[in-house]
Amino acid sequence: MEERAKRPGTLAHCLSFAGARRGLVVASLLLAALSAAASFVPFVAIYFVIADVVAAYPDLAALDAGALAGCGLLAIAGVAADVGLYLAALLCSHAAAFDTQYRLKLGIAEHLGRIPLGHIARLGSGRLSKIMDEGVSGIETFIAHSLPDLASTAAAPAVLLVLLFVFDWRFGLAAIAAVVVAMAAQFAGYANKRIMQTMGRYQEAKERMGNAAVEYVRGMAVVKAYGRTASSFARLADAVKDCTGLSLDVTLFFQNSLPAFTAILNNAYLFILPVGILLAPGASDWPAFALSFIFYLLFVPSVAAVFNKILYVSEDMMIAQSNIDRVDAVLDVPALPVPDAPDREQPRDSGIEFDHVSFSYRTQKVDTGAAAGADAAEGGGAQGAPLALDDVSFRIPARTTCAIVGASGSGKSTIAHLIARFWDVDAGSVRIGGADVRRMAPDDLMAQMSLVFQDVHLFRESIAANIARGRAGATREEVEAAARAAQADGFIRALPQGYDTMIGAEGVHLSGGERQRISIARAIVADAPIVVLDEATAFSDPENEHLIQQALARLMRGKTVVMIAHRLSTVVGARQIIVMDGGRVAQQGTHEELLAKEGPYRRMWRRYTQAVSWQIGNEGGGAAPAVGATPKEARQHG
Amino acid sequence: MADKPLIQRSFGLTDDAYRDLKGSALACTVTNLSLMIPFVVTVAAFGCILDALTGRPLDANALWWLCGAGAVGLVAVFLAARHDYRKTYLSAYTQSERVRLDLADHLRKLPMSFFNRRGVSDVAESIMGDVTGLESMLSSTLPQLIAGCASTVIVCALLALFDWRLALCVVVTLPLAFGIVLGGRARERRLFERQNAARLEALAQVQEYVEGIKDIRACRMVGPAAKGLAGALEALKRIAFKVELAVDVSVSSANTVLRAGIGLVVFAGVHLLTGGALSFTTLLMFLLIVSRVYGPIVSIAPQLPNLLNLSTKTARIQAVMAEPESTGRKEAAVESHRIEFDRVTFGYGERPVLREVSFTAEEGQVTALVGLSGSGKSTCAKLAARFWDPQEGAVRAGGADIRGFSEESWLSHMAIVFQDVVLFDDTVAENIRIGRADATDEEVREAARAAHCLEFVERLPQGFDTPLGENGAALSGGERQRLSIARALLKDAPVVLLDEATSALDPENETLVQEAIGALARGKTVLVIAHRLRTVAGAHKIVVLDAGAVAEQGTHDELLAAKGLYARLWSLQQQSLGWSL
Repeated sequence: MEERAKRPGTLAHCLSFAGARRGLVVASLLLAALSAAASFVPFVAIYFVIADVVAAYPDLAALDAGALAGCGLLAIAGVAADVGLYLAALLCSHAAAFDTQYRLKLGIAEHLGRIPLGHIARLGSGRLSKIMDEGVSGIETFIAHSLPDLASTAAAPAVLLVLLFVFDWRFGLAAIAAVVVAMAAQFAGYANKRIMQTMGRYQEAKERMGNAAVEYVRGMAVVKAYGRTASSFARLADAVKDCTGLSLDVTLFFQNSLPAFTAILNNAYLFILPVGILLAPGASDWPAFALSFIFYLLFVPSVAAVFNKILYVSEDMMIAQSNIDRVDAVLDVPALPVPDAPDREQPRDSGIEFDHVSFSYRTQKVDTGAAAGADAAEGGGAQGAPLALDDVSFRIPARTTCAIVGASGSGKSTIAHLIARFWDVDAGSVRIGGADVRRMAPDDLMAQMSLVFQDVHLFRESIAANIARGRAGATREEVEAAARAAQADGFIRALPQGYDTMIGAEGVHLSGGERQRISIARAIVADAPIVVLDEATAFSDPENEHLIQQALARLMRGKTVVMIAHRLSTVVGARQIIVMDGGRVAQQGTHEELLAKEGPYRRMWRRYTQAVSWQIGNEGGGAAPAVGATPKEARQHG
Repeated sequence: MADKPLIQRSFGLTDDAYRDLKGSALACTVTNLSLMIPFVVTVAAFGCILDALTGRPLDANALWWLCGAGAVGLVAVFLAARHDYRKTYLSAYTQSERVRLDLADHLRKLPMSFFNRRGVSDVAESIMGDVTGLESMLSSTLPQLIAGCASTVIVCALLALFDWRLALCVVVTLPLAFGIVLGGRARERRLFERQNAARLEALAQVQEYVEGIKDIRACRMVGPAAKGLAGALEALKRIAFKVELAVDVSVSSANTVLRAGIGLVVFAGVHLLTGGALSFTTLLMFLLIVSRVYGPIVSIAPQLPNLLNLSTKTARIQAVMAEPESTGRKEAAVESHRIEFDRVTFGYGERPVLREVSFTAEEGQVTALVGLSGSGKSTCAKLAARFWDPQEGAVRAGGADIRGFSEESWLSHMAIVFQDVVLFDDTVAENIRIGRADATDEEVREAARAAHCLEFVERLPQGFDTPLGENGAALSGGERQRLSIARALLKDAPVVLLDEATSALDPENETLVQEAIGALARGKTVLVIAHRLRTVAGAHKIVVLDAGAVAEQGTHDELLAAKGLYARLWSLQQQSLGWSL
């Protein structure tokens, strides 16, 4: 109960999402309620016809045809009012809903710009896109369609009650009794615990089936390669059959209560008829009584139409709530605190300092229903060791290079993440030019550094625009100069539209190395004093690798460079090498200093030279270490 | 297709689905007609009550009899509703199960080229989303719409026996209303298309924004500053409202016109009544019927736009079902595992990726494919595995064209280590056992050991029985790669296809993966796609590809001496190796 008190209801929550458009939502609710009221006008018109006829009966020639035709007009006016008001309600609700969807999506986009980036990685881009697309659309649908329906469904019984009692309360009671019995038949089912559990299991089975379908298709290559299509098919088939089975269970459970509901509501006159028969002998004014009797017999079927809608309300609410929960899972992730303008610090220079930094991915967990174990994606920090960084201190003077090496999970990627403030530290501080990154404005911090990662992301716009993203207002000349410096000018000009080639357009295929060089050109345009580099030559052919290295050399000129190194050959010439092991700084120094001592670096170096000399096709692969061959060359260049 | 009924054609239904639909529509019509029983009883009651108005006493007995008849009617309605409920839902669910299984079964017989052409989410969406859409249309909307129209017409035909003029008033609005809905259809379809395009663009922008968030933050273009996203969302908002306006106005007008039948009946009825051409009971009967006859149709109306979209969903399902299955039925009983590319020309689209490529991979030897990215080396591997068939020339194994083999039997000769490793939502052991279904726990463990998996598997909370979650999200790149090598080791196939992918690993992992690959390659016919020249310098043969053609081939030493492309790449790589901060 307490939890429920903290969370606003589905309705209130939707209204708060609607924000400034709340007025439109309320207008739509009112219009929908009015339309529900207007829907009874044709019945009232019919009542007037019957009343006139009954008054004259059996002398029909005495009827005032003009007055009766007026009733016909009233009926049509009622229909028009009903439909017109509902149309107005829908337009209001849709105007509000589409606008809410627009602002909510932008709002989430903005929030994603403020929360720790690590959380975005943890939630996963696929899921986030889905939440922004389907989750928000679900809320839009609820505001646009379900809310007006809800209002008319709530208003109709109220109007009905008034009408029923205005004419003759005894018949009114009988009509209500019909509704109550029908509802009881229907909702008896929902009280059944087993079926509610089955419905829950059905939702899970549906999700499993969806996942199984994706896995079936994604794994097809592997499954075929291993001749396992039969068993893979069987897995999907099981999920499909499981889901069908449960849906049939649920369907069959309601096979009596739903038809009973329909049957009773549509036969509500059977509640009126006996009441009329029993009351008739005592009626003092027989024509008046006959009028009521006939009217109720005529009117009571429309009750069915009103209550049929109620069936869907609770389902709509449940769907809306689950979508709200999905969206909240993102919006509830707290944003990184931003200092107020007067408290902000400006860096003196581009030196970087870690001062007794401790950090754990575990403390960053937010209850968002995310799959457990996803943390490992962030460099394996959370598994096994509770601390990804444990009391780490070092200093990188401005305009020097520093390489960070270590096994995967040793915390080297975490260091890069903390410099860019993807996360906030648990203890200690990260400083740039003496300013704590937490006391810098986010834009100022990002302006200090260029981040070059392995997973290059290019935007679906022209190559020139992609490069120009590095700095607002970069001219075409600057873009082309940066591309030349990044060894990208040649292949860009070879493309059919050169710099104006659209990324992702038909027939435009860039290799990983080419994409990498475009991203380096972007960083060169940005010209930030700090370069954070995730050594990034994976899957490149020798030519690309060579060009990327030249591009990087140009980018790093005169900058403070932090490189997360995967290959030891590249770190040989670094001014400083930091060796990470289990979240701690194990060693620190130049290549020569570190090689001279027995320690993790020397062990890594030995293993590395072994890997470098490994060849496929040598029998007993890997067993022929050629230590010394590569380091010699490396030193020549370093 | 042309000889099939209109409804079946326009919604692209299979024969089974159409038969079920007819059954469901019939059941719904029966329910609608059974709802006339309360109507008839009520009209009879009117007669009794009106009789009493002429001064005679109320015939209570007759009314009680009517109550009894009404109770029987109630049971009839219940039974009809139950039948229709079971019929529509059960047939829709079993039908959608059948469609899903048929689709899935067909998918596994398709050549791999199909999966390379269409995205994972696209194909999976056919199995799930499209079928669900079909299901809801078949379970409720379509049968109810057909039944609503059918029963309105039937009821009116019966009413015409009493008074054809009033019956006409009831039914005349039906075609008018449909006319309005259909009249707006062409315009709406154009709007729908525009809305769909706007929706896809907005989705693409959302995906791009989320995927590029790191760069977007680095470029300080967050939230409203992301012009592309804001613009796409704004455009979507506008077009969505336009569509809503168009659809709502046409549906509302149709609704008004349809239900104006109530007014028509009142007008005409009153006119006829005062003229003495109609009895009051008949008028009451018509008033009663007209106040409820439109209900079923009106409640379906909001679903009409979806119904009009149904054909696009069924078309997508049928497009998948119409894909030709992979050809080749023979068992791949090959004399040797010497693989020969004989003047192979191939392209994914218009542009050829490979041109007249010829080389052989000798049995029991290592053959390496090297070249710049985009030179076609990965494509060669795909052709060797028959994921695609060449447009010209042939790939042969032991002299026989592999196109003659059934896909699965040829693949049974191969162990493939892909660059992007796919793991399944199952335990570690089962993920390895994919290599060979009947492998014992001991064999699985042995393969894991040889592939250097033990070290990390034993760190997992439940060891080999640890579930990996969706696509093994909890494992690192190196760990995933080693698991896939364990799979390949377990399979122990005579041909090994290797997409060398060790460059993303740290030195420790790289060494371990390399040792695992060494164990896998021993004594096999190995075709390796190499990104790093140094790892294949010891191969028996190196084939150098350049822009889709074989530039040169030979051993490392021969190629170096030839001073061609390979020699140039080799020297570039040596420079790169020496590169440092």
